[in-house]
Amino acid sequence: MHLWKGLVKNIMSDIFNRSSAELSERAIKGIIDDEITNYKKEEVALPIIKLKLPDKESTVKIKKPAIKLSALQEAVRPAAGTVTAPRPEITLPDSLTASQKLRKAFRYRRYGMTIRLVKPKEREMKPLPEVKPEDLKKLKIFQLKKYFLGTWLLIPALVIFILFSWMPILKTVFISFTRFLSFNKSTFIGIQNFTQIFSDAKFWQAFGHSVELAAVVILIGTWLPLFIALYVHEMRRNSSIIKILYFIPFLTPAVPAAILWKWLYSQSYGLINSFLSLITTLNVHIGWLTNPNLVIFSIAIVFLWKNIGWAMLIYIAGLQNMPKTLFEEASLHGASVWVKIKDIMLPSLSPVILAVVFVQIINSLQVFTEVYIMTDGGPVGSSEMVATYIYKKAFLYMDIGYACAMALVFLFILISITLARMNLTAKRG
Amino acid sequence: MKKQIKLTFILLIILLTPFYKVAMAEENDGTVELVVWDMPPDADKLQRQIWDEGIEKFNTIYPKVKIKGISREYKPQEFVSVMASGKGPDIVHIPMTAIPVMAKYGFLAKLNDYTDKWIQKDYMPQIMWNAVNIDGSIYGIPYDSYFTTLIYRRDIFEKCGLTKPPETWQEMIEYCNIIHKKMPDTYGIAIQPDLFYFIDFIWQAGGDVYKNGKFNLNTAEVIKALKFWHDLKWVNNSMPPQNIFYDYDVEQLFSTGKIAMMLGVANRLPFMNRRYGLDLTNIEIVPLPQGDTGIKGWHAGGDAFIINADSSPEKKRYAWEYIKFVLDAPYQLWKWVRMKELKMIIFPGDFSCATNLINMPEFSKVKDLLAAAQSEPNTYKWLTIKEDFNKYVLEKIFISEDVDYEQLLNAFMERLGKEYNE
Repeated sequence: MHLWKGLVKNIMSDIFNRSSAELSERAIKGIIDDEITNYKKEEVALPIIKLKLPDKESTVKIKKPAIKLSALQEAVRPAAGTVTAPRPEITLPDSLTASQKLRKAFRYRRYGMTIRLVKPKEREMKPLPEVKPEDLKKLKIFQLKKYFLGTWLLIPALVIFILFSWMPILKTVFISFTRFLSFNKSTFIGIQNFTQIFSDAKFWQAFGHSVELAAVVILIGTWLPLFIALYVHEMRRNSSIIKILYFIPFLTPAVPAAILWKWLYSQSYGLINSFLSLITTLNVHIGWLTNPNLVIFSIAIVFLWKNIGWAMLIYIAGLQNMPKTLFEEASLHGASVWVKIKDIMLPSLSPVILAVVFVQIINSLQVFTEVYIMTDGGPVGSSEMVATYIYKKAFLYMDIGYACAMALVFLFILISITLARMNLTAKRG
Repeated sequence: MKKQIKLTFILLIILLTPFYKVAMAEENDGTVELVVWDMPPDADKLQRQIWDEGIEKFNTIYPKVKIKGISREYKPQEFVSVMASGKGPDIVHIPMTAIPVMAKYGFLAKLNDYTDKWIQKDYMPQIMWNAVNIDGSIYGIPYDSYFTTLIYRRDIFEKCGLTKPPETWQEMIEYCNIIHKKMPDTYGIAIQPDLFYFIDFIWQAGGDVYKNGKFNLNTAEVIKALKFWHDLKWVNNSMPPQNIFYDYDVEQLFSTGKIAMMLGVANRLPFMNRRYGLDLTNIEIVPLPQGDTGIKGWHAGGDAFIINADSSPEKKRYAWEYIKFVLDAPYQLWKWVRMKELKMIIFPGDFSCATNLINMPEFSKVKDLLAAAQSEPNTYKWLTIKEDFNKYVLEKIFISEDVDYEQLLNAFMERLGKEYNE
């Protein structure tokens, strides 16, 4: 045992000497493995050190010792009362590599042979080469390159991100403090555009409509997908078909969807009114998009139709993560369905519900395509949203500075909502 | 790292070489590429064929000018974005009403130097030149012209025993009643709440919206015209049961035979034919009916060619040559002949508003219309004022049965004062 330990120690010290570095046990094992697998190569390049291996011709192949097993066994188990015969002694040549020595030692030891180690030659310690100043410079450059490698790799993505995300925002901030006399000529007017917003009744009217839409969306868009998700979650068969059916509208491009809905809503000959006429046997001509009192509700329906599948999937994911044992235990205690929903499901799902509510708020405040295509803010401006109003100010009224200021105020409102959500989520842990 | 940089560099060179070659070839050849936004869409095959042939003809005269046609409808946001980027097209077709605002923002080149010496200038009606002239500077070259007209379906009129189009407001109401009585599913007319059409009724009532640099939108004539429109819907039941009609609603209803008449411009008819299958041989285009004062009134509009203010002087020169080529009489005559050969239906709006072809049979009605035509106010505020008038006045009279016209118009004028300093 002592011999074995000594051998390993020697081999390790050998490696230490050759590498002139402090290596961990794991590193040494790695070196040894590498040496074993690459011993045929003349020189093995390792990440840390280089080890010179013996030539192929001089490689000592490990052979089974030419001693009969029975003889060995006899030698190992001497008869009682007899004097133990001296074991054959093997000398390991120093030319072997560390791993070869290890393997040989292991094998000879198995056969009960004593191994005599040749003390490794003391290698002459070479003095460390002097580092030239230019090499030092190179080394510093190399270190710097290594340090900034991550940054270099990030640059392409970063450039695209800055160009297409941050530059427009920064440019918007800059433009919001100016008034355009012509497209190439603008004057700095300070915060005038921002103060104008507070006295712009049309902006606040549009904001009011956006809030109205968000309210309808939250009222229906939070709970309806939850009920659908519950139903789908409880379905034993074909739930994936239902999921796909509800999710398809989310994948439909907004423009064709809005055009389709515009036709469905047509007051004179739309499918919805025709259907209502059919089932009521009356001449139904509801102005879904032309009645100022109905138009926001009609837009909300389109918005919900498009987003309900998405919200449903989020809820399903939340439901799947809920521990079933809670429900089982509640059932054992005789809890009713309502109690299960109120005391287990809703509290467990509350982070998901909160996320859906806030995302719906932000999305509904930003709605543009549906309104632009279906009503263009009409009738009588009753469906003018903040996004469409900003768009018109910029491209129809050509008041680009003011439009940018409104966009920034709107961005600030959206960021506030996002921060509120994060704050609420953090409070709930 | 060095290898990567080298590799990237080599790849960049390989990728950029073709572009460089193309750019150099152009430079060496002296070729000038003009980007032109006036190509007919692919769907309009015959118009496109004629356009392509026209470009070939142009290239025989100017072989070094390469015309890159782009089929695009004018949309303000698209136009503003592309022009602001500095990569805007050299020549564009834009509605004349957009010229004041685009000129104000410096997108359009002044063309006085070119037009002053142009012989064809005198063949174009003055009313068209007025629309592109802003304080003495010419920012566009009038191309096609249109007139707001009454378009009716001959088949419905025949079924109802109507042999001629309505010529007065009163006749219009009577015709609507007859049509709805004889064909209960069909209505007389559908009108979109748009000042673009309403302005004609103000003129017919004897009023004017813009005089001496001031807007007058709360006059007795405006009230009279408003009342006529309001009564068409609420009193005479002349329109389908719908609060508000947008352009596409009216076009669809007319094409499908749900209404017998519409206010419109002939330029839209090929589009309606393509999209809704409107039979163009079944329609008639006539002047708008006159008001109770006996005044005829409609307006002329159209598109104009503009040249990008940022184009190089050389490009501007060639752009002018292109415009001149397209608007010159020989080309217009060749186009007319070619359309005949291809058996296309000829609308005056397909041709230059110059009077070179005015004696052709297809232009006989235009000849009459031109005499009484007026033009919309030529101020950059007009587009937005129109938008607001549509929203706060015209839509209101179609939504509410009980309207106090005077109060409505006064409120609008107040708004105009606040928002536009008018």
